[in-house]
Amino acid sequence: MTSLQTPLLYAAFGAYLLAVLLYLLHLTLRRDWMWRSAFALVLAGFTLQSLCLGLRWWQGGYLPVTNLFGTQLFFSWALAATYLYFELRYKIHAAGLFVMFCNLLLYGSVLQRSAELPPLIPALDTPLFTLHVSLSFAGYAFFAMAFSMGVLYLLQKRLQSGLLPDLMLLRKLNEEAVFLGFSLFTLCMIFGSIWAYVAWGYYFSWNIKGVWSALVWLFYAGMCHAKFIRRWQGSGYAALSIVGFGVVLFTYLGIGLLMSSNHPLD
Amino acid sequence: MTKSSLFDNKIWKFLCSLKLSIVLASAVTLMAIGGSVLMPFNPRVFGSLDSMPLGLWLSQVATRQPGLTWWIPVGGILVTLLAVNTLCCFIDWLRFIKSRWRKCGEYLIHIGFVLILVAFLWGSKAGFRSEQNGLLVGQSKPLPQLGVTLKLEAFKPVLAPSGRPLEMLNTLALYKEDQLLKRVQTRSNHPLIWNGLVVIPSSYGQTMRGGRYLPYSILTINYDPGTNLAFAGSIAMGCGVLLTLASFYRKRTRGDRPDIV
Repeated sequence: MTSLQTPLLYAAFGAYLLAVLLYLLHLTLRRDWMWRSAFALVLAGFTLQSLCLGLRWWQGGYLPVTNLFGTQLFFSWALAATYLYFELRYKIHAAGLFVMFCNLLLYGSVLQRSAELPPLIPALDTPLFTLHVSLSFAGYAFFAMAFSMGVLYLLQKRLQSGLLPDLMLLRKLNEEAVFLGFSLFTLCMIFGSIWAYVAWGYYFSWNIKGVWSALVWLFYAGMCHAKFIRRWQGSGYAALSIVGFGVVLFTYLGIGLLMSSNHPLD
Repeated sequence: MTKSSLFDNKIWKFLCSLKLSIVLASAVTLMAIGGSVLMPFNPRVFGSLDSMPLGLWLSQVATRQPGLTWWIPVGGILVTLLAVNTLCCFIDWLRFIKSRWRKCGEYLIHIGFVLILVAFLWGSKAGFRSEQNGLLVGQSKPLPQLGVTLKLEAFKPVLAPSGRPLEMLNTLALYKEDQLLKRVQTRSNHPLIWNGLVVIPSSYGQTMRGGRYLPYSILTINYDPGTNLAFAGSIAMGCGVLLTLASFYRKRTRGDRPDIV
């Protein structure tokens, strides 16, 4: 079974890579079969990656997101799932390319790390851990999509290109991504707080990871309100989505890799 | 003052204002981003934040380094003002609940946030935290603040082949005078919890007694009177999120108000 993991990992990566190349071609040549094939490839890559994740979960007996390899693989899976959600709902085609680029980047670095499953320490042996981590990365993936839509909104406003979706749709998608990301991240924070309470004896930690996670929540809570204020609609909201994703990236990678925290990645 | 004039004035409208929420949330975010950068570089100042309630930390540690720590009390005041603003919005929504009941998910999130913040402030003021409490099997530790006594009845550390402790199995009992209040076998993620008191097995040590080494358990004993309120707040918030999601998709499916705004 372990030997199956590597071909699944590489096959999924190959499918995502081809999909991104086809989407890029579609941007310039505008052939329907290109985006259809690209979409089929993303779907195939996602299925293979899901199988790989499921296999690792079954082998380990726990959701394997306890180290950098595991979290990056899961994050890239969540990004692909988010892309598929928007593609199936709104037919965004190449407009979700940024998310797929992020996915490829993460996946590329995953392939260079050891896929070995670390033993699960008792402190992580709880469903609260599974819920906390999976909801966190699902939220991050929607924030990445919001970033992508924010960048495209600003580009479209400047270029007025026929290659990109219209401004109203981009704004709607951005707001939906922020709303869904915030909802999932709120649930992640709730489960994380309950877990912190039973593991450490307090539900809010002043560790830098805890402080920045609260900041991410507060920032996106503010964004869920800002969309009702005329001045912040459109470009302002797009700019906030870009800044927000910077805060998310620092919270996940900056703190996890560069600082000493209670959420170490390796 | 009549009920109508209590709510229909500029002060109430200002307290419920969306712009006020955004200004306060932005101010807290910016201040905490700036302040938290100082944390990793000053572990002597900020390292003890999780070891004691915030109120005690502010009076004992923060006062010695006001230049480094001022952003925490100021941020706390701003978050409290944000909670007041959120509470006013919630009360305003209650006034028109008959016409605005579809928004109950959003407002459950609002009241959940307020409850959690009140619980946190209560625990920061009236709670206590105690680490490194070493107990041998059969030993007791009185907790005079609560009028109860904690007793370690059994203890077994589970070690990895490398000697690293993997798990600490403790049988803990809580007594009020001679009456047993609770007996629990604690391990990772399964602490003893009683009325805001939480006892966590954190580590273990060994001591020489009668010519042989005896293991003893090291416990973290925390008390936070606001825990149940915070839990109620998180349930309200969680239910609010689920209701908001359901309402969002229902509106989209029906084509009713297809845009979020």
